[in-house]
Amino acid sequence: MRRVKRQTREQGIYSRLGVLLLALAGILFPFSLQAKDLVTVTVRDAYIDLHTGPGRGFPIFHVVQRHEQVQIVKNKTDWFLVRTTDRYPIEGWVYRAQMLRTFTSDEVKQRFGHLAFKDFTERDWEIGVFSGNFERSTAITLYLGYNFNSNLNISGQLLSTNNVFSDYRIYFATLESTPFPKWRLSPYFSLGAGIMRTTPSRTAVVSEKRSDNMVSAGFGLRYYMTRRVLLNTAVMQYVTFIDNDNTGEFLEWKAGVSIFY
Amino acid sequence: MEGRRFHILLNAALAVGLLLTVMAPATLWAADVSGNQPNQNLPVDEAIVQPEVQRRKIEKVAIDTENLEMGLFTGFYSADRYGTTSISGIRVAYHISEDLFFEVTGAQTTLNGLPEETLLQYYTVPDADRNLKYYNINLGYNFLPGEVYFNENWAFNFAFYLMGGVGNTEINAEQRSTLTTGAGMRVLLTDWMAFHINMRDHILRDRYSGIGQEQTIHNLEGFSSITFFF
Repeated sequence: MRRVKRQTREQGIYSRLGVLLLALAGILFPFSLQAKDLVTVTVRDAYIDLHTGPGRGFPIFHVVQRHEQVQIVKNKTDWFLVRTTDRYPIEGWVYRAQMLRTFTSDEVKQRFGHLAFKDFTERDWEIGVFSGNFERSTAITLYLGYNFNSNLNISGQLLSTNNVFSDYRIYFATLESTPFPKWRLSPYFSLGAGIMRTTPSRTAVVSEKRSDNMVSAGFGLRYYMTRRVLLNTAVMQYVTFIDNDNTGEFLEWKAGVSIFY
Repeated sequence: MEGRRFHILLNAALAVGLLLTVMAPATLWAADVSGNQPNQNLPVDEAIVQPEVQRRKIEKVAIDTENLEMGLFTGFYSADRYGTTSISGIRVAYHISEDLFFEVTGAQTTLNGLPEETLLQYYTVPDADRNLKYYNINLGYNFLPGEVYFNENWAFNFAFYLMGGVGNTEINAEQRSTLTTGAGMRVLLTDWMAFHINMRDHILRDRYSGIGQEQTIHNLEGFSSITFFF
């Protein structure tokens, strides 16, 4: 007799996600190939170097002199793919520092500089991951935050941890207040609420899933590292309401990195 | 006056004097170079200095930025004591600089049973749960970037990178926090497409479906992938 495999709802989620991603890529990709109006800049330095690839190890194979024009095709990290406006155009990669000294016209100067601290204080979105110690177990938190203004931030977080007895998933939203947003190392206070889902281990005595309301409070530090990256460390206290008489308390220390926009 | 104030005043006077001395011949030289007579009589209504200077506009014009990389990967996953199975998943990477990038991957596979299950004829795990899923987020460092040469006509952008990160592995419907380390090679076939070969080590603690003591195990994974830059 053959044991029939039943397709559960969760099975195949990654393969379905993969197909969706591929389809999305296929739909979006032709847009990136469209002929767009490329930005043309004039070289004001003595010359700019064109490298064969977007990295400092790649050799310089061409030089564009002052007063000549180049079109900017695209940008990858600190490098710009430019195309000369000769009869037979040549494409090469130019480092950001050299692009700083080019101009589109007398009145307009391109903004090629690195992301600065000012972009950090004016950020809108943050997405990041924490790794922490949740009551002596390792916990991973994913979070997506939005800054209303420089002092207030609302974020949705998903924390996942487990121990010998059960697996825990906490879905919660927090409101964070940053009293000193202009500091490079700025502290914040957070208050949150959400749901904690407990899935007991297969061999546990009590083996029913449960879902409890929970609130959290915490204190953290944000440090602007460089470009789009910031470091985040926090200590959070979670209180879950199991029933009318019982509450559970958990303490978590965590640190992580995030990207901001 | 106090000695200190006098000292500062003297220094200021000296600085102004020096400045004037340097500037005077410079203005004469500028006048000569531009071809104007230094003592030209200008009409009264034509000012020498234009006080309203056009402010230079600084704009950020949209340039296509390709720092996001997405793709699928496929390979093998060697789960300790469960055997080796093929695995496939998705990876999304964001390049912060030419040296650093973040990567998020997720994959799943169906595990074989433990050897003891066949021998002892018991099943602890229903077939529907007999799978392994993981997701993790890694930080990657392009350790050795450069150019590689296929033959005398073809050169490709190449990078050997190291990765480390944290994640979560679900084995037989039980979650396990995981530490990942790995290394890989990336060859840029074109500007927007890359080919990778990776090896990765997942470090986690497992109890083998609740029948044993918890041990730290290393699950090795090897895969290759094609990714696209957006």
